[in-house]
Amino acid sequence: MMEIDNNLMYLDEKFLENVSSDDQNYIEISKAIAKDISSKNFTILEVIEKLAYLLLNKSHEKRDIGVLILSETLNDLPSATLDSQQLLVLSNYFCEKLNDHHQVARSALKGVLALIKFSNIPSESVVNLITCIFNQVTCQQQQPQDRYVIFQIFETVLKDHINEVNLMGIDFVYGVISSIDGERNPKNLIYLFDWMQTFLKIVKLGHLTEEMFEVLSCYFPVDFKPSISDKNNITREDLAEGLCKCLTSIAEFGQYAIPVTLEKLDSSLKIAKEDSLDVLKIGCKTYQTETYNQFSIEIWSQIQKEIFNTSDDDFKHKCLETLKEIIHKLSLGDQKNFENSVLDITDTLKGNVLPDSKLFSQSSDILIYVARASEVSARLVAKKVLPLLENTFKITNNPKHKSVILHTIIEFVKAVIETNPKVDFSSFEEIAEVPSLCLQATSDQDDHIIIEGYQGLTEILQYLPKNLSNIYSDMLRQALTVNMGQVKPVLKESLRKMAKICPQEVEELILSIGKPFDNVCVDNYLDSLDALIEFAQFEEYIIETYIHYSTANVGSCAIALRHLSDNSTGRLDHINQGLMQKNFIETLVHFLAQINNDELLQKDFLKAINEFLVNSLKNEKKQKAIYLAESNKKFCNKNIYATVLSGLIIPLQRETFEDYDKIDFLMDCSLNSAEEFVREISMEVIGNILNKIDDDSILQDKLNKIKNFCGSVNEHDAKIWLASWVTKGLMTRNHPKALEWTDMILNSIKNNNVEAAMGLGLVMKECSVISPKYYCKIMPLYQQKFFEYCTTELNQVSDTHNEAFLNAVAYLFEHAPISSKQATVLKSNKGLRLFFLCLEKCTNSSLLERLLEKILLLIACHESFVEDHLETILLRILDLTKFEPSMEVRIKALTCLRLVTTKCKLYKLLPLKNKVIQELAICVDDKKRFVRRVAMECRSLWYLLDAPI
Amino acid sequence: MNLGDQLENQNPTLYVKTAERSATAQEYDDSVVDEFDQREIFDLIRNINDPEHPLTLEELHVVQLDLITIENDRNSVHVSFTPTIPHCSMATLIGLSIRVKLLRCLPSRFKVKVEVTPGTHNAETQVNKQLADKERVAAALENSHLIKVINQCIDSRRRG
Repeated sequence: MMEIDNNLMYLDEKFLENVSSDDQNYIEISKAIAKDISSKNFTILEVIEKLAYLLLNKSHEKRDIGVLILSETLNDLPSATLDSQQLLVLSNYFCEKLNDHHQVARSALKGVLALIKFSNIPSESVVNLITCIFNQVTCQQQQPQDRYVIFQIFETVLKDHINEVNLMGIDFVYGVISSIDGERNPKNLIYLFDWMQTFLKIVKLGHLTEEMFEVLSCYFPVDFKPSISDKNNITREDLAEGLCKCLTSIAEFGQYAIPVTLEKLDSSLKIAKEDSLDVLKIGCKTYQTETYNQFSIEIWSQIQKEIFNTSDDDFKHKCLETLKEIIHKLSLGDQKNFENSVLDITDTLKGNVLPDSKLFSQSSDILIYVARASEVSARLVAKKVLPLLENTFKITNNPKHKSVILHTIIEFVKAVIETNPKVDFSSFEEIAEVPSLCLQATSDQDDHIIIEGYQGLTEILQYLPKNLSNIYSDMLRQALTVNMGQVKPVLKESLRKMAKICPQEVEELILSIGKPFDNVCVDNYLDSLDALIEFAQFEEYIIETYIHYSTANVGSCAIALRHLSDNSTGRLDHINQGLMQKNFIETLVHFLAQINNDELLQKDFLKAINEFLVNSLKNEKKQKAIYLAESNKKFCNKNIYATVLSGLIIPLQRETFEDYDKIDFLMDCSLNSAEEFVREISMEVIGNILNKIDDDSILQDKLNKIKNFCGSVNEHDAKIWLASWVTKGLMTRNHPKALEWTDMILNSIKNNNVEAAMGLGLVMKECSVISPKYYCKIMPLYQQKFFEYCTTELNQVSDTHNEAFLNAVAYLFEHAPISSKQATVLKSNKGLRLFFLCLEKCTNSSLLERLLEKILLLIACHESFVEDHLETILLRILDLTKFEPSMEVRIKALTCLRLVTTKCKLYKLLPLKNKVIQELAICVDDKKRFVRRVAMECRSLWYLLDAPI
Repeated sequence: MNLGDQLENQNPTLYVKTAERSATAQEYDDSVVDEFDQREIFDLIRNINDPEHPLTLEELHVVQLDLITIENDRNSVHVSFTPTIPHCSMATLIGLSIRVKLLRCLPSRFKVKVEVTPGTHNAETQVNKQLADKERVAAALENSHLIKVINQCIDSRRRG
């Protein structure tokens, strides 16, 4: 750091002698000078006198440094510090310097830029400076960063000194053209393209328009591949966009641009085609209609050719959009001419608008886009094409063709509506028949035609004449309560749109349906009502309907609750609030409490009750009050009570549940209920409760009770399930007692209890009942801990042929977390031993399938682990490729073999190549075709492993 | 083999690809034995790439389903392929690719015969003779450049 004092001492000769342009010292000096001048410590004249040593030095390097210091100083000076006389002198000086040695000249450019920024610089100085740059600095010979400075000078002049630019007139244009000609630096080009847009709009180009266009159009289409080391992040698209804006910024360019774009559109380069379309499309905003008119025939034939020939949908769409814009542009010009053009296009293409014609889709697309361009074109095209399409629709028998034609007809009608929303169908002969055509279609045999019919009607809803609209309402009324299969979503959409346009009619319609009795009708009706759920005015009706059906009879209740519990459509979120306000849960529970017929109870029904209660209560503030009120009601049926109770308990927050007596009831249900669902849900709730009890003494007490209870029952399997859920409830919260319960399960496994093996899977698996969603405590890594404990214990088992043992290992691994980086599976040697043992000896097909899926995941995410044990794993998988009892296992094993070829390192695989290929020779002759297919592909890949390519 | 700069057939006719084979209930039944059939062989070779174009043999109709015969009991497979133009110099190469692919993928019990569809190539007999001659095929596969091109043709990883 250099010391700078305050009295110009830093500008003495000795000091200046040592300043060079390579280090950044001169910037500090300039800053100091600027500061001194602005605080009036001395004048610019004094500074220049001091700098004379540098400025008048014979060595151009010294002069360069002098000019550089002066330029930087000017750059740092506020506008008012220099008067116009001083600026005049300075600008004359810099003019001179532009003519000096080229190195001095480039520093002088910086000074010119700084000077131009002074708002009080005299007009003649500006003109003088700019003229000097035009005459004395050949832009193309400068370095990119200096050319950038020149462009900045031009921009500043245009921005701050427009009068001087006008004064210079065509000379300025000429100067700019000669300066920018041939610029190749992408950064400079981005800057130029941006500035040019303003320049072109402000400055009159006069007779130099074509020259200016030539200079710009030589970049078209932009061919630029950024190098990887390029830090500017400039893409081809940025440049192309900038250029396109320049080319389309003034109307005068149109006559030159259109021929160029047409020529490039004809090239085989995709980017050339796309850029040309952009220019043609954006040009519509600025170019004159007359210009487009002049080239309309060429443009049309070129774009038509592109659309007919391309197989790229995006590109086709781009062509169509461009065509639409151009037709719209033409519609603004001479009407007669325009009508003739549209008619020409229509006449050329209408022959293709037959569904078996090769060019049907392209031609109809073009016509639809032409129609969309303006009201007149829509009318003209519709008049010509619709009668033809309608006739074909009536004549043809092919349902596929029929639906395609109807779709096309609707698209044309949409175009008419789009361009003229006030169109009167009755006075428009060609479209007048479309509504009845759609109505007819809705009663067709073919689903696709029906869908098109309904979709068509939905589009033209507000244009339907009264009589047809009544018929349509009638149809909807009938359709809403029957199962329409894949037509249903379209119907619902139609109802939704109708509710938007004429809510009154929809209200009448649904009220007139009343409340159907038949269960199938109820199901479909409730489904249809989803379409109205977003409209506030129907909410009340929907809520009432749900309440009605939920309490009407067991069948309808099951349906209503199933709809409510399936929250995939967000249905419940919408109306839950309303249901709560109406005390729906109370009404529902009251109804359920009276059901006393076990035969009516189906698993679906019980499940729906449970899910609905859980979903609607999980975020409810009054959940405890509701629980207390409803859980103590008297129920006629024990199973329903258990289901309702679990639905009420599961969503309770921690510490809310204190009603511990209920555990006894649930325990009894979990082992003794005749309904499987009730047994399962009771155990799940017990797990959920145990997870949420924070008082340890109560928890101990309950655990002892469960243990005693289990001891008193003979039903062995159910006991193990209950124990598993208890373990899960404890394990997830990391309770010390959890291991004691785990031992119980493990002991059963050692006694070859296969169910107990599944219990291990249950604890490992994530489940919704015991999850943070319902306020349960889930310790991170609980799975890892459980996994490690079990593998350690299982490793001590001597009888490894024991089926329960093998299953237990398989279940553990099936759910073992491997996604995280600290995947336990990969680290524990004990685990690995068990894993390989299980792969070797397990004969249960479904377990093997799941294990192989796990291996697939391992290969995909932890290839290095697989590589480390490649031989062991592959040899076992190879055995499984011939696993006689299940083709699924064989296929999965082969899939693993296929995946390793892409995931593992070649040098690890190669030693095994011959072995694998040899073994696969047997698999390619498998009795099942599916297996052979994978085997063949796999063998081919192993052959290609190290093959020269 | 010189692939040259100029394409021999600059504008080949393209055909639509057949859909994936739909699975039958029988195929899912583990106890039923699925015999090898025409379609299975066709599925194996239809995706081989043409050496000249980035297209598959199926798209160019070089291989067609009905030009494949298979006899399970006699363990024989016969594939006829049709070069896109009668003077196609790639005919042998295409034939070799089909052969190699089948050799690698089919069980060794099958005797595979690959031939040019009669009347579709100028040097039909020569090509057929070359493809039928085991020793010449083996020698061709020793040629490092040739095997490279063949591998490129049958490498399914490159597709899509």
